[in-house]
Amino acid sequence: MNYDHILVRYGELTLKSGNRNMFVNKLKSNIKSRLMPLQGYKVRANRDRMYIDVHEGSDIEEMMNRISSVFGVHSVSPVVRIEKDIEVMKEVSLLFAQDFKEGDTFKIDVKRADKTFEYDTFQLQQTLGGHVLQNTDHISVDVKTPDHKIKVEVRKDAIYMYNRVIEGVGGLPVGTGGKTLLMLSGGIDSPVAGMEVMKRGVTIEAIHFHSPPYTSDQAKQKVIDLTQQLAHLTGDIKLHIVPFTALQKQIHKVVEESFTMTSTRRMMLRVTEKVAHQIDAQAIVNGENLGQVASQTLGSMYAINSVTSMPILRPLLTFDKEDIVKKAKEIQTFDLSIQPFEDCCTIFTPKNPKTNPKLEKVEYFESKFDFEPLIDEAVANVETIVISKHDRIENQEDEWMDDLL
Amino acid sequence: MIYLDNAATTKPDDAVIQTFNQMNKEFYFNPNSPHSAGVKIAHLIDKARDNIKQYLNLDDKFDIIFTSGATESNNLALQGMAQTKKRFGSTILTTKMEHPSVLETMRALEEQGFNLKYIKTTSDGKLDIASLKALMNDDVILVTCMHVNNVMGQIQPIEEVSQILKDYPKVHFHVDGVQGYGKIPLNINLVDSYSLSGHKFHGLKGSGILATNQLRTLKPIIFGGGQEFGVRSGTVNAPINVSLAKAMRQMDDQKETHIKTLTDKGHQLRGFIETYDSILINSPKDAAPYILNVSFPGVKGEVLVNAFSKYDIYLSTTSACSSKKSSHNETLKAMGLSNRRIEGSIRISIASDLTDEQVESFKEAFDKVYKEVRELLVNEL
Repeated sequence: MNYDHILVRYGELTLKSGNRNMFVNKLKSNIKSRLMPLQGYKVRANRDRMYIDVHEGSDIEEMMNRISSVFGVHSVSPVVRIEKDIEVMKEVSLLFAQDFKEGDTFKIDVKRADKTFEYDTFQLQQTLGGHVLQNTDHISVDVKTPDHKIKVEVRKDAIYMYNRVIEGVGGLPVGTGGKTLLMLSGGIDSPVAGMEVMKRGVTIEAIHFHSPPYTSDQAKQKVIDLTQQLAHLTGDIKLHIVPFTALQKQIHKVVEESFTMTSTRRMMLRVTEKVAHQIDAQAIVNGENLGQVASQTLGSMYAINSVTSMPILRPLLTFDKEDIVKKAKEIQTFDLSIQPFEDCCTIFTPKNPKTNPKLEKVEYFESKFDFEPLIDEAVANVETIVISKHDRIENQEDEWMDDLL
Repeated sequence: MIYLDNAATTKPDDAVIQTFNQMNKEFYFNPNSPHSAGVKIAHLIDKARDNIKQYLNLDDKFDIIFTSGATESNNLALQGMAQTKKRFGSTILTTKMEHPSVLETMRALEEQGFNLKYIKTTSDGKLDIASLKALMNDDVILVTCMHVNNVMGQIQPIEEVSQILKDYPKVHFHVDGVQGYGKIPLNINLVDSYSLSGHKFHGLKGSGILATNQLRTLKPIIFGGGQEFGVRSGTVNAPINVSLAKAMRQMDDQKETHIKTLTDKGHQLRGFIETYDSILINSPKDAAPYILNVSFPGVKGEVLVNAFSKYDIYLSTTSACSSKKSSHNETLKAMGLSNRRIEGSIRISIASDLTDEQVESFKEAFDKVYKEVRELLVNEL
């Protein structure tokens, strides 16, 4: 079958009324950006659906693959656009049918948006179904549970025919829901949390805390790789790397050991909030999950959260660990996350962290030192990298590797 | 010197030696060390694995395990999978024509209680598909055969075997690819595990891999620090592994000209030897062209090898691995050849660096050797 179009159906976008155009335009530009490296197509969007005109010789399967993973896409179909001529429709129906297997059943499924078309739904089913049956001897009709549906859409401009519907990832187009700052640790959870909010149309920038020499360049590289993997799926992402060593050392000087973890998180949040304001983010996202580790009890969250009034989104709050792992594998961040490099949270882990730290106590320890200047210094020295969605960051090591290999 | 014993081992490629030396001089770090030098080497090894998968056209289900060579790879695959699969059955199948690293492993498994059965071979030394079909039943857990025979060059019907084994999903199909890699095309995705040795294609001795789609269930036979996905412990031999990837790259880069040269020169030699009436060519016509097994019935193979050595020509009796043993070669016996023919056999195995002048010198020497031993020859036709 020579398909000349890809039909893209919108997900819950269609529920929007007032600002639907904004959603559609964003989706259109996201799809275009996803198709960027490929050649030979043109995107036409209207309020209800999108058509990608595919030029001859383009890899339509690869294009559908890419489009179906763009947030906001409900489903895609490869379609044939034909003139409103019953003979052509008959011919195309037969072309579809020829690909069906011996003994399969089919039905003609008609949608008639253009009521002025000379054949009504019933006539079309009769005529096209009859034509297919007369000219094949390996398939039969089953109107209730057919193996294949030959779909015919009669629209004002033309007739569209197809028989495959490929499910998309759903959600809302990234860029329609405001901006957030994702706390990216290098673990399994935070990239998934980022993905979950992006699915709701939200744009992210990422923030990571780096404590050289306690944490290695490999740990930093790992976070860059993770960001890249997310960028690969949704477009360029800015990554802010915070030099955190001085703060971490100071915390260990003044805060009692069992409270250092709580304090560390509070400092991170204070830095994050400041960076969030700088980049105009409206919320902070993290991968926290209720009950997973010591810092993730309600008591702990309460003590940590008290340093900020900014909304903190925790999309994984109630997820089971195995579901998070499954999602991490789906978005291909799992293998990166499990690389064994220490991050700044694991380096200074106290022996017995408080699982239910009292806010007053944390505040008391922290009051012994003015952390604000150190926080400002960390924010001022943030290193910001734009991670491109295109191919992995060039590894400087590649050249010597290529020589040896 | 004219070197015609390439099925035993090949001359290492200069680029491969260079990689090996550079690895030892500059990149000798342990890839399992946490420091950044170690991590760099770990990346390099990962890339070597990826490249090897590409050269072998393997799909994602496959993993590459670095070993010390095909003997270890064969042992790992066969012993490891037998242990995994023994709860499903106990019958293992092979042919009598396999390399000792397979045959001896199979015999050891037999002593452990596995039920070893031999698939028959046809008169031209190929695995007999009808015999395989007759031996297949629900108790079979492991089937192994080589791709190209090291003694005669027969190409075994791997595709057909894999087709039959499709109906027996629990069977593990292992192929020893040592003599075929890079020379006779094979879709390795059809088998479950595949071994090769670097030194058979201008790499270094001590390098090899096992490619398998069964990594998860493969039981180790060497225990220790858990290197190579836990199935082959021991400090990763980064210089050897990287040089193996390099040797495969060299092969891959020159695949077409390489195969063409082997085919042309092999046919040329065959055509030449065919002109001698009382000398018999044991290798079937459709065998791999680069291995030519020839009998001078009535003359001991060893005598012939010495006779050629005098002209600075190095070839072999039957196979190098078994040529020092007094027992006759399994492959030739499996083909039903007479003792005299087996005793009088030599193996000429060529590489693509064989020049036209060398071919001419070989022909002259061959004729001289023939004249020296002519009166001993027995007409076996």
